[in-house]
Amino acid sequence: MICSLPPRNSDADVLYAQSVERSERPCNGGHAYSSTVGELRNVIVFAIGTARYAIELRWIREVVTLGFVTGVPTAPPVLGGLCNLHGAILPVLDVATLLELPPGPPARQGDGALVLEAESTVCALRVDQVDHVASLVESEGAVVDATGRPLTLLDPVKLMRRALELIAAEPS
Amino acid sequence: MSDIDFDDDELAMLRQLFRSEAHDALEVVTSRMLSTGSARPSSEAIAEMMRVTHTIKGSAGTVGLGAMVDLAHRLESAFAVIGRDPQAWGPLTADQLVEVTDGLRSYVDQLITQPAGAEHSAAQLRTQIANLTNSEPPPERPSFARFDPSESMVIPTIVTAGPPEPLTDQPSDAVLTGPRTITPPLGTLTAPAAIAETRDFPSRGDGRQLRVEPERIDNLMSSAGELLFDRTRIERRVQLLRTLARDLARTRQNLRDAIGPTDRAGGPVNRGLVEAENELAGQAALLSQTTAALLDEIEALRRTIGELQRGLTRIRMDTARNLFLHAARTLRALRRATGLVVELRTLGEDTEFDKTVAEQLVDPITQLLRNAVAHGIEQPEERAQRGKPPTAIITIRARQDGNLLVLELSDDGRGVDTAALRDRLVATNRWSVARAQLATDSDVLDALGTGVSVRGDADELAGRGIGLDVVRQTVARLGGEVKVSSIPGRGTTFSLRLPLSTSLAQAMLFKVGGQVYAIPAVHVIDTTLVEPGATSTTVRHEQLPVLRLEALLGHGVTSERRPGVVVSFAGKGFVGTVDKIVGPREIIIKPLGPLLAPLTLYAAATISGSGKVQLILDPAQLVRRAHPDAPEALGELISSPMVLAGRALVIDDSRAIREAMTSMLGREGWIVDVAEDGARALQMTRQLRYDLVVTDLEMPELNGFDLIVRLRDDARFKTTPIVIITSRATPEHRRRAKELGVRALVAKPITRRKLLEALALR
Repeated sequence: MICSLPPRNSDADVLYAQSVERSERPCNGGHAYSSTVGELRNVIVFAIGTARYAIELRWIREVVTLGFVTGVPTAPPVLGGLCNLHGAILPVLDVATLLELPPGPPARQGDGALVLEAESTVCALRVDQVDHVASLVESEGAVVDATGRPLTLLDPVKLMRRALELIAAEPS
Repeated sequence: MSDIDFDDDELAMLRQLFRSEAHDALEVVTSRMLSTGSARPSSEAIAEMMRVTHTIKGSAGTVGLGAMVDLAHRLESAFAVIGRDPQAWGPLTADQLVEVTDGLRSYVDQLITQPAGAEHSAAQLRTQIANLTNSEPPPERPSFARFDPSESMVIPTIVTAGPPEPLTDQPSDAVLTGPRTITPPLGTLTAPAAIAETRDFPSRGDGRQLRVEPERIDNLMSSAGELLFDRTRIERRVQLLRTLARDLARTRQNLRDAIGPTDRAGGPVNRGLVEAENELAGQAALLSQTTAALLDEIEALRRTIGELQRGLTRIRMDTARNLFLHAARTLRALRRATGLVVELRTLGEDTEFDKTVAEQLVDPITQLLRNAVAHGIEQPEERAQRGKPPTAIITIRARQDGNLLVLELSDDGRGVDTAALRDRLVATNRWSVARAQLATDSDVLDALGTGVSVRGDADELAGRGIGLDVVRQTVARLGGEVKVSSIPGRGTTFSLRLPLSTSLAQAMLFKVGGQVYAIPAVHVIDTTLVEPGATSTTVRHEQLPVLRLEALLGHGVTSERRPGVVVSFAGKGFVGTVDKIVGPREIIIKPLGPLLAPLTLYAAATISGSGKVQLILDPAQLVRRAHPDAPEALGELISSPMVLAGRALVIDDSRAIREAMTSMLGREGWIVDVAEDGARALQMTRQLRYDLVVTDLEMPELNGFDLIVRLRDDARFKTTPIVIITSRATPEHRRRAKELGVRALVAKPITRRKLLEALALR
């Protein structure tokens, strides 16, 4: 599936464009990020509520069904809880809060989640539905998928920094 | 020997020490026998064996083990006979002697760990010892001449009886400098351990091994675990600093923007502001650099802690052999119970992994064997029909895969009937029909051990689906996972993948608002009940503030009497109210990661048997909240229960005393060096300055008073506190001690209380 990517100079905070140069993690085959127009990027498309989002696939470690979610009292709403992922502690983040939207429903056992790694931190994003894996091409204008429906392309590095800021801002 | 005035702790410790010394001494006899074969040893060798036996006799008396005194005495007498009469040595004597020393070793262990029932072993040993010199008439009285029952009583705390026989010649001390072959003490797999011990025995040869109580290693491990907590705390602070550095850089940028280029060039009003902005830039950069450097150093610390833990882990490594021995015994029992013909094959018995892991795996292996026998292996007729050999085979294979231990237990039975399992999952309402239809065989197999069993009926061996739950839970708790694979008609394989070692810690678990939390057990001193509305409560005659953990953790305060955990950290205590106390547990510490670093209330997390994450509260933070008005410095205290008192030198020719003093002073925060005589002590004082000297009086080479005189001649030791410990506190001694400015003269046996009183004197 081919989707279109916005131009590089988009300044929307959560959008993808500017983060490519800043990304701290070398991507597989860096040549794919040359400035040639028309390149392909693999993304995973998912839905939270009625909104649809995409994250580039290279950040995604796996797609999981959450086990028991342990609540973290005193944590701000962005931190939905903690899960056991193969014996390690996995923080579950609420995407809506990160995007300054009204918070989504609390993460619960059985919810779907994307496990992503950025800023040498692993966390999970609770999602309602994982749609598909698609390829994006750059073009003028907004990010849309093949059917023309709008997508928001998320930048995991920015998400992670935002999450850290929100959690650090909480007086504890 | 009831007149020995040790408190229980000391006596227990001294007995452990005796056990270790006795083992070393008996090892001398054994290695003599092994080196000379069945030939009669030289007179020197016999004299040496006699001497070490004599030492055991004296030490045993000191620590109040009368029965051991008797046995050592008999053995010593037997050596005396052998030494006198060449005819007394027969072709079997060497073997008999090895048997006796071997038996004595176990006897000492038994006497110290479970004295009840030791008498039977003693009777047997008496016979064995008597048999050593059977060809001879019974030993005459004169051979008892060396034994003077009062000998060991003269100086009650000196383990080496009578005139000191220098311990330095013996392997007991040699082990400390010899090759570092460290054999971990055998753990709780008692029966296999015993087998392993006898099996190991000939190869131990010269006995150059360090014997360590398992508890000591455990303590070290838990200290290393505490280090992890400490590191996390520091790292968290530094992460906050890093955030602060970023904020500062941002503020500075804002300031810079606010000043603007025209102002920058311009007037006197803003010059100060521009300078401040420049300074701020420099400071922000410095802060940022320092923070980065700190993070590097924390990383180095992390590596060092890792090495420390790995090193400690290696000490605790066990091979799969013990686990296999256990499996063999279990299977034998199962064979008897079922009449099935099953054979056990094991592979990889030299695979090494943490003893703790090995201990935890005993139950899962038992369960999996039961499971294989109950579900997997067919009756002989069925096997014949399927064309399988009559003898079923269960294979256990252990191997290391990177950092993981992989244990695979396979049977060649009928395999898991995934269709039947699907049906049962649906029948028990665990799965919807749709889910069961969609699930792959491997999904279905994964559901095994989540409370569902293939067999509808449950018998005493297996069938309730609970057994596999235990396996999954235990393995999950150890941070591993269980995979099941099965080929219908060919068999089933359970593979357990788990870390080779774990960082275990003791913690007190409790429930608040439906969730389980933990506090490291070292900081939990008690539990109690707290009245509703109380803001403080009395625990052990101390008034402690009440911290409502339910409120802190976001739940309402109820008006009921509530259980409380009494926590003490850095000298401050409080009582935390909870919904319910779960109890002490051994937990595995998991780091929370950088995202949760700002949430200082939590130190780390652990994972429960059912795979749930449980948060570990940071006692440092709790204490600060319980004492909000305490000086801020409290918050800066690092978890260090001990204030460093200084460096102390202990001089005594008895190893037991040296160890006892090291332990007592160590607990008071002293770094303790020891010397076995005055001459050695003098050498040490030339190299190092000591803040406290504790010395015996009677010592070879240079005695206590001579040492003190020499020390007082040295300008650095003119006023150093000196404490004398002696069994002869005569008025003459006291006078002399006073002349030399000795702070206190303490009569042996030393107790902790006496020592503390002496140290408190000014």
